[in-house]
Amino acid sequence: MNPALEHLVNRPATWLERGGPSGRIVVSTRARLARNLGEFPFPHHASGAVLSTVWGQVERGLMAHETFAQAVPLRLEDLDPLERRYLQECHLVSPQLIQQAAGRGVVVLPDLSRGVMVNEEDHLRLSALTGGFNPRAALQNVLALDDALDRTLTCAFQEDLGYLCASPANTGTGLRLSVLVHLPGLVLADEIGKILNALRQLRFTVQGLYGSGSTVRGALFQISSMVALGKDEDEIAGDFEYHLGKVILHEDTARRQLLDRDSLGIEDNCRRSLAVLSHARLMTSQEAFDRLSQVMLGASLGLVEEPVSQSFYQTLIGQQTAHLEVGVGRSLAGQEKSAVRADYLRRVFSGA
Amino acid sequence: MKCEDCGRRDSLIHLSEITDGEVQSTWLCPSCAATRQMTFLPEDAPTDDSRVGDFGRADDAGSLAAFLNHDLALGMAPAETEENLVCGSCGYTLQQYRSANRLGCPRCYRAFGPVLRTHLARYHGRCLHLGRMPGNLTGGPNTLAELTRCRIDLERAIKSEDFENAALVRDRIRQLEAERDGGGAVS
Repeated sequence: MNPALEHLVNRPATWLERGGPSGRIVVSTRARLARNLGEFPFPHHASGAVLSTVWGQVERGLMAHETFAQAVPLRLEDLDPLERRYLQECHLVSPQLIQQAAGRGVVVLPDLSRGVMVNEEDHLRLSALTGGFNPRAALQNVLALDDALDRTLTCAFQEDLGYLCASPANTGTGLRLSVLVHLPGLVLADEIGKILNALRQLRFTVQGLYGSGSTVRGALFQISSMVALGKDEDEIAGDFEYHLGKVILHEDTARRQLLDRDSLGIEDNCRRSLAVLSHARLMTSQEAFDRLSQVMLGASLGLVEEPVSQSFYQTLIGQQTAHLEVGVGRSLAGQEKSAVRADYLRRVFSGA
Repeated sequence: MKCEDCGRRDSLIHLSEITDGEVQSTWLCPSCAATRQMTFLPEDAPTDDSRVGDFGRADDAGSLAAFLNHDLALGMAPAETEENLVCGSCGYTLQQYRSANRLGCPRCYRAFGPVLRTHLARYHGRCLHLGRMPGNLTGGPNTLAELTRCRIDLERAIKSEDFENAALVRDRIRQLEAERDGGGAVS
């Protein structure tokens, strides 16, 4: 394994720890800022040489600042495909970034919760993840990265339009807030369509687990703010907090109503899933997400306990293929993948 | 990712359809979304200045907002030459922008200014940056910080229908802009 990446593997990502605000419903909150260097074309329109120059400038600039003193710069072309997928499963890089590795990279801070993607859609994508529902903390953390960036590099900025980005959708503050949220109550109560429609009207996007174009698994949704211009960062965070706060409240209500209406049915589903997770010998990723979703719902209603060894969210991340492959030190094919996943889940749940 | 209908243009609109609790997600470009008769068209809808869109607010406040928009559209190119616009810095064309929904470089924002401002206003609801700015600008001796503060004040005054105050702030903005542009007149 790449020595720089090895340094990061098996560290506990701080955002996956238990006990974040509304942590039974919201897995994580992310704040992202898009920034570009004024003198270069945007990555999709840039030559390999330009991408390399941008990477060099960004790496030198960031690493010179104390905020990034412990950071690990990772050029994607130095990593093999498994290592790239591992970073994606950690939510440190996007699927788009690993598709075209040349000239691209990421600078990761050692808490595995903050990082800077280089040459994705924009030259820089600063991001900060927090556990649970915490848009203000996520915003503060990413603005701290921006402060460091501001002292070392000059970003493309126009006074009336703000920070200029490859897509006009990001121009302005460059800010996008998003949550990874577990909404099984709203799905089971058949209310999810109504909520998603309302969110769309309020200018939020709803996506699957890994953003753009990914599928929804285990009732896990990624909900993001769309408006980046015409409001300052605090107002964007305030709006996000207000509207997502309502979604959380609706989900909480839906779960309680489900428990009132059919507590035996919910507990039965939850315990069946727990039994499968504790005993199965083969498990696909899709089934793992769905089973975990059922058990997470039951645990949030006090029907079963969360395993002591690690949080549900660590398990959600850990059962993905690249994580399993890094765990066993080689790539896995076909049924072997399902077998290793089942082993992993049995270890986590056998004592639960 | 590409549009799932035409497979050519970049998708920008995410359509989620819920049937029996199953979420079916489709990614579409604005043109294909239009052919599906979706009403939500953030980016590439026809250039129609009479309405900014459901989420647009730029035309809500009458002449003061018109002042803002007019101000931002200074240096606008005549409509008939718009389609042939090319960024002098990176060679990206307006047509490339229209099909990819992305710009070629930061200077494209100057080259395609008027078209972009319409799109930005339609997508974000307002085409005026109110967030943070680079430290070298906020700390500098220029009038930019005050100008931005005044623009925020103007927006707020318009929102609360305090037109007397809004007129005062508007005059201050004109003055600041004239100073910034070295005494150049602002109509």
